[in-house]
Amino acid sequence: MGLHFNPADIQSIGIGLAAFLATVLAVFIFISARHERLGRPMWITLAVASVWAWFGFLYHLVPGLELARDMRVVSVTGIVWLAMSQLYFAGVYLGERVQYGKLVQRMQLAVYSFGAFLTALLVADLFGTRLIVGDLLLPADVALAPMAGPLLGVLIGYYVVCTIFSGTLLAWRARAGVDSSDRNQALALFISMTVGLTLGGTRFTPWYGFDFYPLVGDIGFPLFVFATFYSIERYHLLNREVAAAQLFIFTLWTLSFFRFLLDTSGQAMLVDGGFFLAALVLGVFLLRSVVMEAKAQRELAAVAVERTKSEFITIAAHQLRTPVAALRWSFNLLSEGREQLSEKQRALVDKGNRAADNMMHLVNDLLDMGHIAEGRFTYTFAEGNLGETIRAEAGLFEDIAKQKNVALDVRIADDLPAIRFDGNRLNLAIQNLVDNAVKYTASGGRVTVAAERSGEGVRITVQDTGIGFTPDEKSRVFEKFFRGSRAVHMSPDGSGLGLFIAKTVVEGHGGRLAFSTEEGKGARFTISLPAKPPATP
Amino acid sequence: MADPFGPRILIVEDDPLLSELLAEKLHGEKFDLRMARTGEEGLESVKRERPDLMLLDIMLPGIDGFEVLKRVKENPETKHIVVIILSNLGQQSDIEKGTQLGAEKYIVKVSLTLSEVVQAVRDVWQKHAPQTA
Repeated sequence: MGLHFNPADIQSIGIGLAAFLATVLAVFIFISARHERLGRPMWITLAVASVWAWFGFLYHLVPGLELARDMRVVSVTGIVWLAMSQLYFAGVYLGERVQYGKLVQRMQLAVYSFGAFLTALLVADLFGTRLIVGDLLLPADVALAPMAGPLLGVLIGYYVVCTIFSGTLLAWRARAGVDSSDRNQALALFISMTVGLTLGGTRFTPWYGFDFYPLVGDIGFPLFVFATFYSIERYHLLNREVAAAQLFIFTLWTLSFFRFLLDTSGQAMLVDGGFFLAALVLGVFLLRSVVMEAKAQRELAAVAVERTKSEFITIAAHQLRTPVAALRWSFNLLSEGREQLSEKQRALVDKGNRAADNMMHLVNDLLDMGHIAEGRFTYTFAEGNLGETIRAEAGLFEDIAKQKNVALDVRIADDLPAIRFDGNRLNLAIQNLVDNAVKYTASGGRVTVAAERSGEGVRITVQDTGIGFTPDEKSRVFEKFFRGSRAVHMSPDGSGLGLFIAKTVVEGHGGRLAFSTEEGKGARFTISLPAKPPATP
Repeated sequence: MADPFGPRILIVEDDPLLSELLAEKLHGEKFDLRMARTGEEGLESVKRERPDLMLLDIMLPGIDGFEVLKRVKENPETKHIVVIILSNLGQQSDIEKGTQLGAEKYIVKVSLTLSEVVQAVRDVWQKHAPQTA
């Protein structure tokens, strides 16, 4: 071959390099990010790109015109799939920021269907038709491409449509970026994919007698690879340590495998074969441990972030307690002298009082949540009169219920067993449930708080005829900060922590908090407490 | 010793607004009030004024409330003083620590209205008044 490369050599070197890069990238992303939203379309795109490139590379290597043509048919199929998978990638990527409509989804589906149709034509070409890929007249190390089949133009048109379509989605995504780094990343992917596909499109030119593809087309792929790398890195889809280990092992495997292949004596083959096997096995173990290490690091970082968050909440909530107490007490004093106030002032003082009370509840909820997250929400269990506790806690809401014209029934069975519980904590849970029930039940409704024996333990139910939850809210009822849409409408204030805290408290007693609801008809919460709470650590 | 003003109460609270509000409310209830801003001032005041009852904050500049409580209860001359902790630390461990050190009651400021605080003071005092009367 010497130093003089003819166009076919350049093409084969270029496409061989592309094949190698695409495979390495596909393997990297498959190993480290295949479960992530964007990782999946990305590794699929790269895997498809490597199909295209490897078979394009083989086109130049295999002997025989017919076999070379077959390789080219598979490679062209890879191009069709590459166009499709880039569109798939662009769709997922855009979907991160924009909820696009049915029209775009239908267009995507149409493109995929047509891609499947073209694939079928190419399979037929493998079995003898000459619809897309024509005959190969000269050896592949001379001819850059076989003859064009009658439908090659359709395939090229498809490729152009896909390029424009996915380019549009990527540009859309770049515009919808949340900050400049997000936009830059989208822009990099837009440029690399669209330019990569456009330049890659010049690969079709030799079919029509122009041989400038090798000089232009091969710029496209490295550009695509670099920009992809950049985006992956930005997106933290790729862990640098993992990638380095992967590269090292990949190189080791390649070298030892080729050494084994090129061996001439049986003895050398035995030694090198053994070496290759050892490298293979050790490599897999090394990779696994590096991936696990990286994962553990990421989890640790996530835990640290979570801890910082809850510490911040605890400190902020704690600092707020003093000013909130000052506010409450100021309004308390003001409302004691309410006779001296004008009606307008009285109304203001009452509103201020209520706002300060809400703020206190919010601050206390946040503090409890912070303590729960930090594992400092501890329990002190003692035997007590649970019936009295429930009556007292429900009694706190008697005035509010009366003001709202909501009937508040408390029914405590006489035969409640004596159980051990943490009075302060359980009060909180009962208060939260009764508070919600009264708050979200309209005038004329009814709230029933009942306690009865259930085996050795106690079952407490809080039932209301209020707004309830919608079917799709049901699964989120106990989530932190979650508030039902109708609840927000009915009472804008509220931390969304009450039920989360109640559930934590009940489960801290070794019990269960269950609920059933019907939208617009009410909700029923059931606390089941065992006779003996778990031993405190 | 007959006291026309009822029990003498020492309020150790560093937040000026909170102590002003407390004083305002308690004054109306005919208590004899003394104020302190820091732990050191509080101890000084305990020695000088010999209060019957103390409302003690925990988070104080200098010596903290737990330390003040400990020293008051360690001293035979002052250990009879009834101490109510009035703090915004509401953790179970804080409450236990306060009770162990000899506080009569532990009140989390933010959770009670001013009237409830006064009621708690009155209740505690009623329980202990016969001893000092």
